[in-house]
Amino acid sequence: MDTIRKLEILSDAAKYDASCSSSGSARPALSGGLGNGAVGGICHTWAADGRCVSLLKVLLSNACAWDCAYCVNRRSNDVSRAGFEPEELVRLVIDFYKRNYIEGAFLSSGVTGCPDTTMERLISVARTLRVRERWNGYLHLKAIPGASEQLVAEAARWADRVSVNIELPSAESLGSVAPDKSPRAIFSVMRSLARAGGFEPRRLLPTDVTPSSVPSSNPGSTAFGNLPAVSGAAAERVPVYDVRLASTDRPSVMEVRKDRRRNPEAAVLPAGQSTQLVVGASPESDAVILGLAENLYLAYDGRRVYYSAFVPTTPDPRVPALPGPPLLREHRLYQADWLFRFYGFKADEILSADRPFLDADLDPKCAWALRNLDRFPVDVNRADYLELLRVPGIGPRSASRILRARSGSALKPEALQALGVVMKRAAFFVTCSGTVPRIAGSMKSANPEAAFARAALVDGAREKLGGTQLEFDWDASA
Amino acid sequence: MNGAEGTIVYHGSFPGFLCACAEALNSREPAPRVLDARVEPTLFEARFQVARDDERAAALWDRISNRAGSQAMVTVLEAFLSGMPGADASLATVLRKLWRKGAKALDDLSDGDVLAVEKAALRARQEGHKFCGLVRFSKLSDGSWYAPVEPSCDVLPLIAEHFSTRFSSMRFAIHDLARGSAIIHEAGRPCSLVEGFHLDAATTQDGGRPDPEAELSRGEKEIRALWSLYFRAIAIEPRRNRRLQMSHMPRKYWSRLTEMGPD
Repeated sequence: MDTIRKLEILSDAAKYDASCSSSGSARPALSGGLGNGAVGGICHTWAADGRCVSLLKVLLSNACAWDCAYCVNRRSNDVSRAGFEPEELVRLVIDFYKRNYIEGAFLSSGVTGCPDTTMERLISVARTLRVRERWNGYLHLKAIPGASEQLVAEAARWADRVSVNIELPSAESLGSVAPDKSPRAIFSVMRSLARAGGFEPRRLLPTDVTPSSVPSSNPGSTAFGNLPAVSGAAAERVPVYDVRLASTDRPSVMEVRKDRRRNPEAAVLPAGQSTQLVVGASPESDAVILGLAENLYLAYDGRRVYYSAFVPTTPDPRVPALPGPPLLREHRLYQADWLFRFYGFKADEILSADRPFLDADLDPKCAWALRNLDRFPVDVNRADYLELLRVPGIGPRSASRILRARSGSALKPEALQALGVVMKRAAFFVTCSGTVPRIAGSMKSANPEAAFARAALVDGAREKLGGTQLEFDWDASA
Repeated sequence: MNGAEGTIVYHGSFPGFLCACAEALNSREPAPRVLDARVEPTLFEARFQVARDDERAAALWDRISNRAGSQAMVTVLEAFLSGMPGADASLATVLRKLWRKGAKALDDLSDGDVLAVEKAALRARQEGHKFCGLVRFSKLSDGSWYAPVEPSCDVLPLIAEHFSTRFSSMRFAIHDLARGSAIIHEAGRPCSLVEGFHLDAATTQDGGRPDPEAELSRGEKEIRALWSLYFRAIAIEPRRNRRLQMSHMPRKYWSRLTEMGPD
């Protein structure tokens, strides 16, 4: 088989992994070598689905011994199989990199033989790139669940990022959809990666929310009931698959990250670890997914959790036949994830046991603000950075611009738009030293309790993404 | 009317602009406006032209740099390179403030000129960042690498260091076709920015312009084909979203992108 046909098969087989980030690494250029890391990450093109392409994302081989129902490469799926020669793949990475087509490579593989032999093959390509080719571009390696700690550490040595995907947001779904993967196999890799990056996996204190009260779209589900509390030595022996919502005294992801010193020039794993959750292949609610994501950020120092709308390929009775990928749900989850990382929110502020799903029509921040009107309006001339960040229509950039701009003279409502504030949303939630902004084109003062406020806050995401939104009856299918 | 003090005009270049600003700084209040000579004069405008003098420009740069610090000067350069209409006039006013108040002048975003400068700088910075990804090199038969680009802002000064660090052992040129400037890099040496660059090619297109396509190294087309194939294969069909793609990568960039080509 020639390289072009292999590339076609092996990139097609790799594309359902959402991660294409190249940020977090400032790997220095070696003299006489090729390439370096750009700490902010660089996108090199955007595919027809609008997703950024930064890395050459391919499998070493799409032959797989496992049979995970959501995965296009599962053993029981009838697709063409191929595998790169290591040398062929090294050539491809270097040829693409020198032309500035890519920022680096994301190498993964189907499981051929056992997890350890698969890992060894990935590591050998990585080693050749780093040592023989003296290549310092961004390298993301996939760790295979169940791989030994020693091999995971070796992968971390060559890579900027290593990831292991959870895919299914509960142990029960993992058991039924991906029978060859166990929570233990996944989380032991995550622990090894956290340690390789100099982070001792955290023990999450049990909360008073009992597992059975964790909401699911299927109320009868006891998906997490048999999972032990994570504390003390138990964290070592038993893999954490704790998806309970954070207790109120738990710090936010943003706070914890602020205190964590990172060195983007570190030789080992400067861009940390990430993981992916498939959305819509199993019945867990948004609250379960976000609770799990928050725990992953806090417990394993995860740098990113990716959410991947389940794309049904060929039918498998273990996963639903959806009309299309649930893109709107994925979009809202990403917005909520942003609230963790950049806005100081906690999962239990965004969702709760009695409100398990994100609002399809509202940005989760707007939805939160409408539920917490007692915290508004915020005076833009007095509020601190964190209070400003909580205002719909104000983001990190406009919040810091407000702080700079008001040091000269008090801000008036007319000035906010020029600072990058989205007044269409912010107007309902701010004052300028007591002056309430007016609604554009009207003499009315913006009042969030008025009937038109919610309508004004609805964004266009449903129209753009909702066409293939999941409306799937899990109870009927069970 | 700003007739009394008139308008100081310069010819295009950044040093020329700085000389005009130096002239404006020396004038009494109200400060004269600084404009690119290519802007059509208004009916009652008294124009005063300043010649480009690189030493004078460097002296002003150093003077303000000492007062305002290097971070502010990066913003100044970016704002100028944005080429946004009116950005130069705002920048001249802001340079005056930087000279008086130092870097904190840039914090006063309630000032229209400061805000305009910040926005212009952001635009150039963002396009520069984008071109760190969108530059496409082709390998020529002599072993050197050539990348033609057509950015809206004059981004080459902003991206030169990135490319010469990353591809330190490659001999390459990044050629801004519209402005005629280029980043030239020889293996193991610092890069240089040149004006009026011409690809030194044996083959020419109709009209006598050098034709890089005829100078490609063997195997170049095959590697382009592999990249284009990868680009097509990586898109997930049920998620197709051209609008999103175009919002990140406007059509104006497509003609220089290997993967957006006709085949």
